Amino acid sequence: MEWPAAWKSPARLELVRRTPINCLLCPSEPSPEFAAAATEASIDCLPPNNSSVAWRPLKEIDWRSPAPVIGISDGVWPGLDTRRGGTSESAGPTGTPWLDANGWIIQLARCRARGKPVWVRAEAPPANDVIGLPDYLLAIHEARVYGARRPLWLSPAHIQELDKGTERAKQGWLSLAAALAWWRKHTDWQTWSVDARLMVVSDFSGPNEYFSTEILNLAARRDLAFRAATPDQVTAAAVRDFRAVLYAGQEPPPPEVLPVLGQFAASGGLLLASQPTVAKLNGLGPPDRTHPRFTLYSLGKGRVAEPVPGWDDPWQAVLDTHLLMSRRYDSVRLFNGGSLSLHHQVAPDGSRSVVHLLNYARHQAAHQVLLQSQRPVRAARILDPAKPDAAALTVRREMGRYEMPLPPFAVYAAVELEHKP
Amino acid sequence: MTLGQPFSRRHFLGAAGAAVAAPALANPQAPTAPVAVARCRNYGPELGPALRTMFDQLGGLGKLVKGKTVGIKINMTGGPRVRMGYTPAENAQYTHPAVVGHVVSLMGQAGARRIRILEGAFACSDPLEEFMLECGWDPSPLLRAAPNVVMENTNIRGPHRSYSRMMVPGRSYTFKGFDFNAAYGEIDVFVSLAKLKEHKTAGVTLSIKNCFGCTPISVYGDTAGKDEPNEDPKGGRGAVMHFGQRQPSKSAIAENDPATPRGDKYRIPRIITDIAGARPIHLAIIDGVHTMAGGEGPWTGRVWPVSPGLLAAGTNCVTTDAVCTALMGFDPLAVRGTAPFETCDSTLKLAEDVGLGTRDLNRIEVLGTPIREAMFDFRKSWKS
Repeated sequence: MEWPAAWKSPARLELVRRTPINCLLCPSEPSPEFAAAATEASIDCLPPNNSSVAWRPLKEIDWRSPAPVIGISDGVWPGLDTRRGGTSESAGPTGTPWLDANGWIIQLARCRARGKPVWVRAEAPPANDVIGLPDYLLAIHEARVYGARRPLWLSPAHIQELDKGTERAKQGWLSLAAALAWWRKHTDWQTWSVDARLMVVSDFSGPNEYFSTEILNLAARRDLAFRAATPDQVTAAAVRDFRAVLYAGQEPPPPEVLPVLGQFAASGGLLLASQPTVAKLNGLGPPDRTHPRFTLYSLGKGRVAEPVPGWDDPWQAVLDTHLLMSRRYDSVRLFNGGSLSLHHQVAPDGSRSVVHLLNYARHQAAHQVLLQSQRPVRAARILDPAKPDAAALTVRREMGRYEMPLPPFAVYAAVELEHKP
Repeated sequence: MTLGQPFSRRHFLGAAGAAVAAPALANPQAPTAPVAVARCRNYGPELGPALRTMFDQLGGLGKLVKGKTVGIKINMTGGPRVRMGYTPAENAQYTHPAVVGHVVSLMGQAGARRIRILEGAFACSDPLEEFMLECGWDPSPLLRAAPNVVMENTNIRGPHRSYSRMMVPGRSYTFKGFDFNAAYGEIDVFVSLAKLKEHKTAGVTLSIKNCFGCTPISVYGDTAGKDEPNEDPKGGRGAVMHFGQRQPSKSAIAENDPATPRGDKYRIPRIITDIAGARPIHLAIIDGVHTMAGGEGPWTGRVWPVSPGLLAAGTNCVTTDAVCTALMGFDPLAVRGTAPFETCDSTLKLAEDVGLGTRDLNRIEVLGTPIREAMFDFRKSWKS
């Protein structure tokens, strides 16, 4: 938790006792009394510029830092972006209301942090922005969904209310603590893998940074599941289960990676790569120029798609990638999803999976939302942190798919699926 | 009106009497053709036999499709992820793929040489197969339902070298002709495979209204090119077609008279009548097994699922739509101001006036299940 500067008294620690909060990011060196009280409560106090967390903006993170935790300091407050359009929702290249989201940032960081914990925080919002309980909850849940942690930050207004001891502030605080506690019961999900058929490969830096990171951002908006990888992570085993690899680099990959990508395509995969990379591949068939934005080549059992004249618009690149690899491989989809975003993870043995649903609108879904799974589902249940118990979902079979009508939920819900063998 | 009572034009005129100043007279010169009606409670095993029986009642599919290239325009209006509540789109706003599959299969058995499944998939140029996947369908069974089946999203030129210009043979209301995806010009037999629905802008949407989706959004869409078609279009057909705020791409024929009313309830019935004239429908098939009432899609306000358990087919689009209008509990002779055309002009009347077919039930032979036995009153079905 980002400990408020005004809370210098050890008595204030009472607030976090018996909550899952076990680490305070202190804005200044804590007093000996405060530090002692925190130690007594088994709470770590990290002073500013401590060596445990290397807080940096995403672009400046030293991924080889010895710090045990990677800290992203320029995350966002997740939600529909209402700032640019005043009170109206603003639209991005997707043509739909733009979402400020940290999912892709965390996924990229986890790819590059190589097993280290990832924490994400955001600048305090402008003073006149009202941060309500749903904002806090969405920020907490979003970080946990993607495998990171978000230090709790309290707005000055919230701190004041807590100081006054208002009932609303107390209830809000209890809700936040409950949300954090809820995740303690679901730590197993953290080891489950993303159910993705697309691997996005790049060094995500220098001249490749904008395009490659926007691909991740917009693929998430499209609910196109992906796994990010740097070139040194690309091995035959790593790409085996994917349908497509998008190599988002202007220059060809390192010499040892190129044959892996070529073999991936030759084995039946789809490789999307720009001309300098494609030019170095052996065994390409004759060019097919019928696609308006790609030259397509056969390679063994698979295909290679080369953007013409090159990568340009990342949103169009995401749409094209999704179409070229086919929506057939979308493992789950939402109907009437609106501003919901989903993240699907599968247990190591494949018998279970969890679909995380984040409501970036932060209020109850306007329409009845329905989740569809391609894989056979034996049973499904929805877990809403705002409710004490999980609820079984009706699973109905429609057109060969398995569909589950979802009850309304406010900010976040998880749907656990038990799959038929 | 009570189901089972005699059902006639006179009955309708009597019921509607106070609402209309003067009942419209049918055009006695308009051609007629029989319409087959079948009860079918669901999309299961009874669907195929019901369709086959209807086609046999119309004289058999072989006569129509043997050795021919057939184009089947299906209805997939609206976005693929939009549903009326939890109701699957195929049980509400979309033609059910089981109906598509059975029709394709029966056409294949009847000797069709090639079958093209066609649709201007909502607001995009994605391959039709991918659009189907997006809405949760598997297109593979449809492609395998008969030999030589292909699909095409006709919102753009696609793989063809040019568009097909098709002219309205006689009097046109809004457009003298249209530039369609060439698939519509290269077929021998054109089938409109529509859903039995009401429509906010056209009163009902049946085989004629279904063909609104034949117009490519590259030419007639909101992002159509000014001079030439835009082969990467987005959006619907609001600006050009619904409201006449702009003309189609200059490469196509402009509308006859930009001074006519711009309201879509005036324009759409006329435009779709023109389309039905330019791209004649050889076989109209209506899926009314499970559908929706109150409008054509979940976006039209108060809508609800209904299960009329009906199929209809005919070789004349106007007679077929007239019978289906009656099956929905409306008077096909109704004019603007009377249900289902309370706020729009009647496409049936406009089409009859230009000689596409009669809407007079007294002149239409109904085969199979009589209307009075099959009728499902859409307006009375609310919460029924």
